[in-house]
Amino acid sequence: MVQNLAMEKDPPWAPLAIMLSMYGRSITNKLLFKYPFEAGRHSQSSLRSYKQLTSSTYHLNQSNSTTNEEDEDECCESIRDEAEQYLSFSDKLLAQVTSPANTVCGQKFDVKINGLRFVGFPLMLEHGNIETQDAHLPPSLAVPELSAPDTMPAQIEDHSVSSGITVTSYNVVFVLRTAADYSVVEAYQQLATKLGVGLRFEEKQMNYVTSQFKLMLSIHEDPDMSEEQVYQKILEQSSLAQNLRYIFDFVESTGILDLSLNENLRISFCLFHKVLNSGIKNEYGGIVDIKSIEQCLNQIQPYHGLLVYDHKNVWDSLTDYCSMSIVKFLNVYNPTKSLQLMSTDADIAMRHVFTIARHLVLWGKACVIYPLCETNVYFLAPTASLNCRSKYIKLFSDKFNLNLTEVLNYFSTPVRLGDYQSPTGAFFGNEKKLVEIVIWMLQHRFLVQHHTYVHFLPVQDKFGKPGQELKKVLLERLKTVSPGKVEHRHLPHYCREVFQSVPASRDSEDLTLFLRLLKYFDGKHHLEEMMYRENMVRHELVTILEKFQSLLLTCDREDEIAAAFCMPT
Amino acid sequence: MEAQEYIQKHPIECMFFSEFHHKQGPKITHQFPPNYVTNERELLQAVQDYLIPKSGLKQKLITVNAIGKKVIGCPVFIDDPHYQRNGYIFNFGLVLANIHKSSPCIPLIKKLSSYMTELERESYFVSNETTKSLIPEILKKMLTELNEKGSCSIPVNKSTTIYLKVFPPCISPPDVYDHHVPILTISKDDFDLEEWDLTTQLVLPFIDGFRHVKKIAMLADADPNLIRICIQNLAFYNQIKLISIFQYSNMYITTAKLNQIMENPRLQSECLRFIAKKGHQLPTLHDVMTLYCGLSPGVKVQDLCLRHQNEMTRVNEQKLIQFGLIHNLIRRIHMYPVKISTDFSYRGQTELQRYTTGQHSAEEVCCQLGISHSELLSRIERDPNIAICWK
Repeated sequence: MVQNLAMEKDPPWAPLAIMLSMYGRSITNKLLFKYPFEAGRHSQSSLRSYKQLTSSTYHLNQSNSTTNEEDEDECCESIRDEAEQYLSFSDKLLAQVTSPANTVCGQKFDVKINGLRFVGFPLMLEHGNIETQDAHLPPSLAVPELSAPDTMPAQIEDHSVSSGITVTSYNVVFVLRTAADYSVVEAYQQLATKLGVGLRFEEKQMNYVTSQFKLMLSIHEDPDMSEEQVYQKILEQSSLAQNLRYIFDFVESTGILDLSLNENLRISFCLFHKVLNSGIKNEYGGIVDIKSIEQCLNQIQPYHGLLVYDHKNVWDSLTDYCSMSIVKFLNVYNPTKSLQLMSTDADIAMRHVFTIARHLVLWGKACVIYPLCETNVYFLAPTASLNCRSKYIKLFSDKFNLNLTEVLNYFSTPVRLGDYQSPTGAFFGNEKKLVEIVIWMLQHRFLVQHHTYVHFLPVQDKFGKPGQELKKVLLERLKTVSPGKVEHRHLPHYCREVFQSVPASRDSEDLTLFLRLLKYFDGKHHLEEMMYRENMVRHELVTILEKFQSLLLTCDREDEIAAAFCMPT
Repeated sequence: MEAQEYIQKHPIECMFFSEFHHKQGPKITHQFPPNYVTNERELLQAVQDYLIPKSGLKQKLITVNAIGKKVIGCPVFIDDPHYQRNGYIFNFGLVLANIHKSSPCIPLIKKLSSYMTELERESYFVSNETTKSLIPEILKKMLTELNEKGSCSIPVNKSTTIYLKVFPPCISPPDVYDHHVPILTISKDDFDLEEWDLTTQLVLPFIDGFRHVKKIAMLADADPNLIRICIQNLAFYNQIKLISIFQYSNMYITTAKLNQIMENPRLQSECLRFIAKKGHQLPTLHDVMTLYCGLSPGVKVQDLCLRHQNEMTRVNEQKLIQFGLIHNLIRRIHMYPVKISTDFSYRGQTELQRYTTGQHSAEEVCCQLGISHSELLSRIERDPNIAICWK
């Protein structure tokens, strides 16, 4: 996995390094640990990605290759620059840059130097008593009692400088590329804050920070070791260093972190950018913008549904401490149910269901859809990878024993799912498989659902008044007449003319229903939404639309909210 | 022009000069507006170690985000026995609100620091007490001019004038392919040809919103690569937009932006004028909406024309599609020929098969092979190994 990543072009949200620096009474500005510390690591991976990129220009449009090559080279240069830039910073300089003494503790730390961004959250250790203890007690007692192997080296070097050190403040810092969006910076800041606060908590409980810092300092004092050996030894002996490495590796490889700091405090974190973009590498700008997802989640409606990609995976990832409502939710979950229905079934408040949905989507476990049903119309999404050499071809044929390209061809015309199951349809008698295929294709962003939107727009030159104005008048009128029934003769004179051509308008029930629905006919509400809001069945709605067809225009397109995943703009 | 617009929305809040004083240590010597940085103690505390840092950070661009501000600087270190302590450290920097990007002002700080380094080396301009007294005035002028115009030119001594400019952030222009059609977003009359390079002057007469890049290159008798670069350049300056070749076999779908035409009277009237057939009655909103709503996957433009002959008497269908694409009211649904078999060892590939990997739209294939759309369709029909996908 990690190797795979190194082969790809490094995405802007991948961290370059994690480091830990401290400020103390007799040692100031010390870089205690950094990871990765092998000098070869970065240059190698960037060299590899460089090669990969130049060779891949072969696949690009031949006649355009010159301009593309230039572009690729340029962006590659900048990546190499950043990695090299990082390597060019000496430990002393890094210590100076990231030192918690430079800035105000308890505030976000964000410094950009020559194309590298250092993000952290410096904190003071809140324990005046430890300091005095350290100063007055004999050195052997100053080291808190911890598991024996960890504290051994510190005890041996009691007479060295490190024993006299007191930690005033510390800073867990991530090194990022400046190309990273500000939302990425905020995410790392959040993680750094969690770690910082977590460390302080552990310090209070069992002097974890002090003991680990002393251990690291004592290893730093060994004059016979090279810089790399020092970090290697720290990594072997310090559990905090191991934790930091774990954090870096996990954020880099999966984007999801679940860590027990000092084997005690649970810290979980999700780098949304990484999670939402994993596995969606295609040539059509596969990068999902975190802002559009946020927007989608803010507008999510009760009639929307959720597509959980891998049900089992979500169950497995739940821990003993997880909220009961997510368990209840998953128990009643079904892709054919709307959020509102699941809220009723699970007996959880709608607000809470939204929170769960939001969580599952942001953690890359699910996406927002309209609940699966026969009347849904699907079409190929702009993000669909048609590449006949993509990995999806194999994945698909292994799973369904079908050729993906052929199935993509079926979905190249918008067809109701129900029609595929008709005797002439491609999936006649194979309903279950069709549903599985649709789920798979939605998950991999091959499909997008099309909805029907309605505009109220009578032919205007006949009646003089433009549709918009007419609508306003009608909506006003609807408010004044008794809510029960509107009759043709209640309408203002010029409105009557508009409805003249519609026989159904003579029927007061039909007219009332039509006027009730009028507010949705602005091209912003699709049929499914109207059904939900007015508690109607599809048949009823379609009939009334047909009756008043001559005053309406309909168009089909995707639901913006649910399509945020497959419509990169 | 753009720089001016940008800077007025994202003004520089303060410019300052700081130095390491041999007796007083690091200090902010001058700032404009006066006391801007020194009055904010927290900010000062958060940034001071980066303003006059230790030697490791010399000549490095440093941006510190703290307490709602962004402080950008580039410290200069000069080793010279002339100075007390054999060296001199100073820094010219600026302050922005934290929510604004630093990138537009970074080149400016870099340039300013090199100007000042040179001035100091030549004439001890920065350290000399008499010339140093000019700095507050320079800072003031710089800040005012930059915030007003997005650029400044400030004479500092007989031979030197400081020229600085803000670079608003930009989006890299799209890749230009042979089959793209450039269309001007501004009127041709507003285009001042004199200001542009020779290739642009050559190309511009051929840009009509219908000709594709390859054709333009042919007509202009110029190197296609050069034309592509030139068109990309125009796209970068938002003078043109790239759309697709108009064909009656094309398919489109509406976008949510279509609602704007109902709500925005200005766009509405612009649309009606743009798409009207010359010498005919002006189309109505109903005509336009009927036609746009008629576009959907599976409906070719030719089908649309046949279905709505009445509306079409008033509407120029080519202009209708152009307007829709320019204002993102509609988007194109492209056809992709894709081969079904994944047998790569297949030798003697036809030319067509090379382009049926699923990465090239039919349009691109036609353009590359120099064949018509119907020719392509009949070739695809003859090859059972190629499926057609629309997206």
